[in-house]
Amino acid sequence: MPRSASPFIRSVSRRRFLAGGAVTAVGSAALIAGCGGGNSKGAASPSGISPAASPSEAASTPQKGGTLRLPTIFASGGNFDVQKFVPAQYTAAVWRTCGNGLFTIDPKTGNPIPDLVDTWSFPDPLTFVAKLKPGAKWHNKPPVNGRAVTAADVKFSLERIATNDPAFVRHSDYDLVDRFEAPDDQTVRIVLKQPFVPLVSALANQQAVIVAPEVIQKFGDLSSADAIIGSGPFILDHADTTQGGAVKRNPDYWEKGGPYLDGIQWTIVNDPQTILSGFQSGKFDMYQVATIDLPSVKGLSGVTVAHYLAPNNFLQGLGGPIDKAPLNDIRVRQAINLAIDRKGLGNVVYPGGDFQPAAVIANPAWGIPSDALLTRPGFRQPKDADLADAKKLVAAAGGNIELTITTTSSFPSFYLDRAQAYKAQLEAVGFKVTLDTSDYTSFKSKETNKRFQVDTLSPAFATDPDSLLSGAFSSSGARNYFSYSSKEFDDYIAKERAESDPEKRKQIILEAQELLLKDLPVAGFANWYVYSDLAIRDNVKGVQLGGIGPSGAQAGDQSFQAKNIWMTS
Amino acid sequence: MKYLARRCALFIPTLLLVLCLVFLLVRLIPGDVVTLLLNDQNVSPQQAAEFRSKLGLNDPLPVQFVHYVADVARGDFGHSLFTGNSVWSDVLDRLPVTAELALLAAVFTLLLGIPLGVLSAVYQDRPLDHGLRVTAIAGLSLPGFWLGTLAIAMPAVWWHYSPPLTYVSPFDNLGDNARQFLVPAVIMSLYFACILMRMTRSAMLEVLRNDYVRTARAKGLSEQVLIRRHVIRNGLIPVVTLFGTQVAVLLGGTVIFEQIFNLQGIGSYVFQAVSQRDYPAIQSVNILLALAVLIVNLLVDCSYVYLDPRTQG
Repeated sequence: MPRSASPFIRSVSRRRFLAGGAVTAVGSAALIAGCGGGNSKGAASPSGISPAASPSEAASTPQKGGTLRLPTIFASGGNFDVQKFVPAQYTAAVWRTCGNGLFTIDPKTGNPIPDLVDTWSFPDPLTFVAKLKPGAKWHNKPPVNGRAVTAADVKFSLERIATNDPAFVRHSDYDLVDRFEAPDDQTVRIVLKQPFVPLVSALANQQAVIVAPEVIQKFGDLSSADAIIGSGPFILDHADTTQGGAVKRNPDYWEKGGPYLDGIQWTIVNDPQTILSGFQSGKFDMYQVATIDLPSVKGLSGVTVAHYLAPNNFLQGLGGPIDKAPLNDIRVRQAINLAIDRKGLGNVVYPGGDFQPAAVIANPAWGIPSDALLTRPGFRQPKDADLADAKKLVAAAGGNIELTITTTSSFPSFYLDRAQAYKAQLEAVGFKVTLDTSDYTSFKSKETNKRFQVDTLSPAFATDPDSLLSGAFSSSGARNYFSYSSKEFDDYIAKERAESDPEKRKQIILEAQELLLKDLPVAGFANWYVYSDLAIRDNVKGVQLGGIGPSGAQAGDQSFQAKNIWMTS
Repeated sequence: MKYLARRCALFIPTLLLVLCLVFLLVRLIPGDVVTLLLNDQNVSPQQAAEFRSKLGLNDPLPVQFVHYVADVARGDFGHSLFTGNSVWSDVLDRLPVTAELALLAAVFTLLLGIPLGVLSAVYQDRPLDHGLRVTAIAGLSLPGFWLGTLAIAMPAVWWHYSPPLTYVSPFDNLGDNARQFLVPAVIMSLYFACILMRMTRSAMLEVLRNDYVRTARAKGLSEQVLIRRHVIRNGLIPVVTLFGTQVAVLLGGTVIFEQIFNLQGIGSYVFQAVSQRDYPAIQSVNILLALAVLIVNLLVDCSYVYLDPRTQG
């Protein structure tokens, strides 16, 4: 389940979970797309198909003015303490427009890029050093009153995020950090216990927002909207967790270029149909469109729909603890892997959508390309040979294998719909399958406590694959629901964490995925490179796409930079 | 007065019973708020257990129950386990939305259900009666959520219109408030109005067949006076009883309509709370809803005195 599952729960047992998920941050997310210039073709296509450029990227001179109106979903509840619990996407969006991290996310590629950081390096594998951008200053309001952002502020914030308390859910991102230091006002030094290149991604996480100590001293924590005081291009106007919120341009913003918008408004809408109606009636300027709604939106005048490849950082498939029968028999896992029809399943998950098969990671930056998968057993079409082999494996494993697929009735496109498809596909090769369906919290409870045989898993990870791979598959991974333990795999994790050359690191991560496809800790990896559709009013400019995922959850993992978006009158 | 005091005193055991049931039932559902709060994070089982303990979820159930009841008795509804917000303040934020929606729906239910039921009875077996009965059946058959979805979707397609999507207080802008609430309230009331109409019709017909009505007619009382003074009042007693019981259903129905019309009220709050196993929020909202139902039913009982003075004794 996506990271922001908790908020998802509130509203989404609906047909268009995926669309809805997207909407969340669209508000923010596509929005996010504001940073940097250039075009939207940044994301590599998994099979040579280039994602379409955002129509709003047309080069012209940005002008000031306009209020961007965005719907946001799954945002009810929660509070504004972005550094603690998994925040609602809108909460994170508000923070990322009002605040900064050391790093943020490139909306075109999804890669971390400097935010408060001017220059940075790893002078040695155990030390990260960053110089802050000169001139960075806090909002001109109490208690910070526009003073300069210092390294001490950064140290304070990172230490708070890394507090060893489950309430600070990102603290494990910093498990390998020995200490944070601020040797002078402009220099931040992070000393590591072990080499950990993904630290930069952790620092770009939506929750790694830098705040001033005075703010915490004044408000106790960040849960109140009044505590949203940062150093970002926008200043909070108002916000609550039931209706939505608004930010306005920071007149004293310290960085050149942007923000151009007068403000941004988020409206919390819990129903995808209501979002569509709101967009049709002109209440919103951008909206992530579900495939089923494309005809309704494409006919609207003054609206362009951008079709783009959106990285999908979910772990998807069918798996369970491999130390228990029947999954402890590799033949059973192989049979499941062969029996799953990824194309058919994709049609269930993304009906009418544009997608290509992926395996473990469906982010072009890190995943095995579709072309390389389509010739393999389990992924190839037609399925005849795979099904025949699967039947033989089931027979060899003793036949009459009973499987219980644990799933949830919440977010059906993520769980129940695909559980039913899995059931049909597995029964076709001789498994006897039953479904164990419950609500989401019960489902997660069973998963977390490994009280299941196989389930329709989909935990998500942050912007760096390390989080997914180490959390779900390393021997000590807290989300290793599969009881997978492989020294070879653990070595890959150690290696990729120490490898600072991006290409070499990618190669290690690809090899780690290949190992997973061989060992099958998840019996049937089933993920997809998915193309998303973003409806944008023609007067909205500067939006870039490609690094932003199709779901709110993922987009929520990314930074929210609206400072380069602008509107024509 | 004595009757009122006696009825009010009965509120306490009723509310305790409701609280006890809700307290136990919600804990029977597997999973807890910690599962969600730490959802898919790299948190060890030990840390999760510590967190549960910190939230008091590891305390024995009787201890948790006594703590909660003692807090409620002091007027403290506790804090949401999920957000940390004060439950009372969350409820107060959302109460106006649900109260307005439910009140308007109740008003429309009465305005539509009773007059149409009376008309249907008075014009029994005539075209108007047939028309109203068919309409009532249709109203009962059409799911409210479907009508609600249509009411949101179609105006957007045809006229590019949708109602305001954030709550507008009637004191700030009555027009926008009406645009936001009238449609969901009318749709929500349809089902209940149809039930009420059918019940009113039946009750009226029963009364119309009584001897005293025939006697009144024989004495030359005009039909209008007869209906207004003698038939409606007597016929309303079962209708009002039914209305009292429907209030609870109506309050429950706000969940769906709040979702469709993007009204952030108590219904969506409790729905979230159940999904999140947010025990203090679930318990508190249920207590408040139970109290509301008790008060409405008390008012219903009081209305009997007006409708049938014999009940006074």
